[in-house]
Amino acid sequence: METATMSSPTMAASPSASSIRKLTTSQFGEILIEERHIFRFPDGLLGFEELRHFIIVRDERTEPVRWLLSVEHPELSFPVVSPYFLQPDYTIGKDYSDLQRFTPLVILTLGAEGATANMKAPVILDVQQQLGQQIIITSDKYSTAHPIGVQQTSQR
Amino acid sequence: MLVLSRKVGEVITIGNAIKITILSYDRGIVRVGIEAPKDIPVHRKEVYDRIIELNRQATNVTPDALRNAIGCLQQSASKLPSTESTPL
Repeated sequence: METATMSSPTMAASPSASSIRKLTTSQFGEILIEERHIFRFPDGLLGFEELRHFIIVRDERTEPVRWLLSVEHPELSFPVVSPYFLQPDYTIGKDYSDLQRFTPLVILTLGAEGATANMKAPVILDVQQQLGQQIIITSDKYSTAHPIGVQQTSQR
Repeated sequence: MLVLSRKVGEVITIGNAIKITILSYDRGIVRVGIEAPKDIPVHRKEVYDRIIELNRQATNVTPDALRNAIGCLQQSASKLPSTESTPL
């Protein structure tokens, strides 16, 4: 399931016909990105509607968590991970059931109780069209604060 | 803000494509049915606000802080090929 995004992006990309840009980030220093690895988010992220272009950055320190970095504002990045690491039977509905094409990622936050994942509002990458969007799953099946780092049991 | 009074069973339309039906009213809880095109997301506002807040918080997470909080995830990822319950 999990293929495309994870292999697509990032810093150590080899030079090719696709044009290469340098971004100066606050978290990862200077990185080189290839234009063709950029995902376009027509609606941005919720609360960040002005951010329309993102790239996935890989950082050895946090694997398998990666970083959805704003190309427009490289000081902004969102830690993301495949929801399948947290919940193998995660499903986002039939609109996105083609896993060759759609890769879901969930955004992580750090709170007093450790890291949690927002399973209710995944980012869906369309790896064929290089598009992305954040959706909200309507059912109550998934929590906005799924605990991780401990055991993968509870689900609020 | 436009304010309308409706009885149970009555409908409000918004544009050509959105219909809001008052389904029931019981002890302070109004049940509302919403018909809208698929491309218009409909959500409880508190959920929407919570997600915006979580997105904001996510931008404050640093790799070093996160590394300390996801040990279990990293372990399970590195053990993938040999673990029985591998998510991949």
